[in-house]
Amino acid sequence: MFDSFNQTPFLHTAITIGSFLILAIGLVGALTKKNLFKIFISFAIAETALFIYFIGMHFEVGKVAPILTDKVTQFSTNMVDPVPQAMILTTIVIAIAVLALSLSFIINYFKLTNNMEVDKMDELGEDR
Amino acid sequence: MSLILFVTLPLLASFLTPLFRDYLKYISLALHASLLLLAFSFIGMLPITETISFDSPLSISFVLDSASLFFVILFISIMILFLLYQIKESMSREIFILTNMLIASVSGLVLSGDIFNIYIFFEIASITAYILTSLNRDKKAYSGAIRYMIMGSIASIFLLMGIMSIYLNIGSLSLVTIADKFSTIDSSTQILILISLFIGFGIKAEVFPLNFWVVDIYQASSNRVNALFSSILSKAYIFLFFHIAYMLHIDQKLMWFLATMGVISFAVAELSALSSRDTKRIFAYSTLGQIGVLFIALSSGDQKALTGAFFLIVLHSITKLMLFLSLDILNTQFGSSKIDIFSRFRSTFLVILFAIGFLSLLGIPPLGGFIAKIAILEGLAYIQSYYLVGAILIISLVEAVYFFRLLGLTQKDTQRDPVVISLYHKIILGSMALFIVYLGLFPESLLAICQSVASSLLGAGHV
Repeated sequence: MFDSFNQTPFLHTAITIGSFLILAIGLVGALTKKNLFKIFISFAIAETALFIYFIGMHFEVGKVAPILTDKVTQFSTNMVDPVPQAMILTTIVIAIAVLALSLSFIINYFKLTNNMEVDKMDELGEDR
Repeated sequence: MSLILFVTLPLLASFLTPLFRDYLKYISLALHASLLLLAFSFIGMLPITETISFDSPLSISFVLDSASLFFVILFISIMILFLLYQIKESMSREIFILTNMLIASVSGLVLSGDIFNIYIFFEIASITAYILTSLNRDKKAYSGAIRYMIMGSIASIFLLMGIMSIYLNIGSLSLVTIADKFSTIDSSTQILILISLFIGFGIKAEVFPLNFWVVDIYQASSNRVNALFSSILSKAYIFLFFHIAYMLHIDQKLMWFLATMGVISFAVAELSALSSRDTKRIFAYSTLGQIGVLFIALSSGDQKALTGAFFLIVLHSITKLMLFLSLDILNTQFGSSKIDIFSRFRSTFLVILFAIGFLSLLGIPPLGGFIAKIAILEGLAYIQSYYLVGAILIISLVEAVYFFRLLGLTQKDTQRDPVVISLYHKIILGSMALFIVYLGLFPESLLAICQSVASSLLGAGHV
């Protein structure tokens, strides 16, 4: 009964719809939330959606992860494309670094101003 | 010698920080001097393509053609001038590491031959810029850095989206393959990719309507950091923007759209500068205005206009470095960045520096800016874009108004304090000013170089 769900086209459709929903949640959150923490967490959610979409679109039923070991020394045809995997691993590392840096900025900013709302950030601009 | 040294040497040198805490400025200078020598050693061997391969589909490729070599040499030279300027002060560990990261990432940006590496260097450059913005560690600095990070995150999400759509449709990340196969993608996907890339790169290249945040960042960071942003970082992103635009052979209509965005950038920036009362913001608006001119010239696709644009890039880098460093002296002395500091200092030397800088940016004849502007205008007239010629001339008048207002303030009869500038700083700043005058009087050799760079950019994607 569940066989038709375990087919590549169905999985790709599900991943596309799901990741676009997550992307929408992330972008809407980034645009509507006022709290700086929530804004950056929303960006992280939106980026996660892109990761899921990209990895998911290169997944095919019946193929294995492209991991090389002592016994398996070459990429073969029963593995999924290794490039997206390498790309996304790198991107996840960058995303974590950027998120950590942004949170540390927010903490320092909060210590100096006692403010965490993006609307009340009025240090910059004319007449100051 | 390998091209990867441009990226790895600065990053590896950063590990020397704990060992030579007192000699960082000398290490930094030696590092950049050796990078410059390395860059010069590649002259005459162009173009070079280097691929570092791990397993068959995974590889990193670097491409050195006359355009990327031109930018690498420009960035390293500007950095050496910047380091020479502060060689008499002790160098903090942060500045040492961040300048190394900046040079590694901008070299990587212009040298990369595949679009995913461009994304990685894009992020390294962004992280460097965020930390540089926050270096003052006060309310303004953190507020600016957080704004910068919000815009940077939006840029990187859209850029990633564009790169993923490219890989899903073409199955390759190499710029040459993408250039080759881009026209085979169906047109609606093409538009989606181009919009994603425009938002991703456009935010960083500071073009209208994506540049409203830039001035706040300049106001938040120190003037020395602004000098680096204005002379190195923004130039790298502009080159990248047009490198990819020419690679993808984008449509003439879209180029016209970019030129229009350039006109609006130029107009909005100069008009905002008129009403601004903060010197840092005025200088930042002026940078945005010049970026608008560069967008107009670079999107024209005409050899002569492109030559002028590259001449303007060299000139604007040196001019803005000089202007921001001079402004730094004034801001430090008076502890304020308000416009009235121009009527409170007494120093003929600084007035001459500001005059040379402003007049060169305006394009007044004996100075370098004139050669750049006239080449751009000639090129635009040649392809019969008369409305662009008219726009540049009219908006330059607005630019003239606020530059002359600043110069007028320096001559006003008010109570003035003398400015202390050390002889060493005078020599460095003075030689930059002399170089601007020299480029105006003897522009031929640089024009010849810019011409080969322009033809290399126009030929991008035809490899």
